[in-house]
Amino acid sequence: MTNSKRELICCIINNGYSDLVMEAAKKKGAQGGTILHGRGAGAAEAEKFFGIKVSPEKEVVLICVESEIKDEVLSSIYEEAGLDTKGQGIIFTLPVEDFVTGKKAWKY
Amino acid sequence: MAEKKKNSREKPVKKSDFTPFDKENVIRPLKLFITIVTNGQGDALIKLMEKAGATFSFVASGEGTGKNYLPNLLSGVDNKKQVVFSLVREDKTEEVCEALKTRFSTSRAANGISLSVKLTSVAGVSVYRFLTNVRKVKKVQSDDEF
Repeated sequence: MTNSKRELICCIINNGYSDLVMEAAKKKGAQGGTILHGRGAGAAEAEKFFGIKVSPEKEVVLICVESEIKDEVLSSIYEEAGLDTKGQGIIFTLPVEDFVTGKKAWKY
Repeated sequence: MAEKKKNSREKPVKKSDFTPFDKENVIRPLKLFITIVTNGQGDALIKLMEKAGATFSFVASGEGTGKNYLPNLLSGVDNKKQVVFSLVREDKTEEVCEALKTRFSTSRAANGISLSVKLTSVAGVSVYRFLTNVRKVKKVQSDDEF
């Protein structure tokens, strides 16, 4: 229950790119994830000056993975939906301290 | 007005009047619990967690992307989820974990995933008090008085 060696991957991406992220993560062995919808609050002036369209609608993807495969999942997500791509994803991980689930047989 | 301003300048509040909160009080670190349950169970989970010792929580709705989800039209499987964010003081984590585990293992429909992340900083004493539901915790007090 405690001290599980897992990491929580958080991706903040443009709206509609969560499928790309999940595909990339599942390729490297992630089980599943959760998608939340939100709105970005980036500087509006950035749109004018740098010529990059910063669309405010965002999706947040939360994926919990074992720490052994964390780096692989992270890099594969970055290739698919990193800042250089259209997804414009910001991806980071947080260390998970406790991890609780039901019985193993009930895992979907 | 000018006189009043002068007066206030003459009597500045001394910094020594305030003693730092952590000198007199115990500060316990907080953990953020992120719990993912099926749609509709968020409120019940908040009740359960607050009984166990969670202090501050809110629900957001999201979608699950598990292995066996077929398209909704075909199977009628509902992949809507509710994500509960809640703050728990570090000494209460085991109770909350136990409560969650019993809840998740009661039935397949009540299954879910919960994970916790440590908070590294909180801005302000009042915010800390609000988040922990603690007014003053003197260092001399024993742990039983919580």
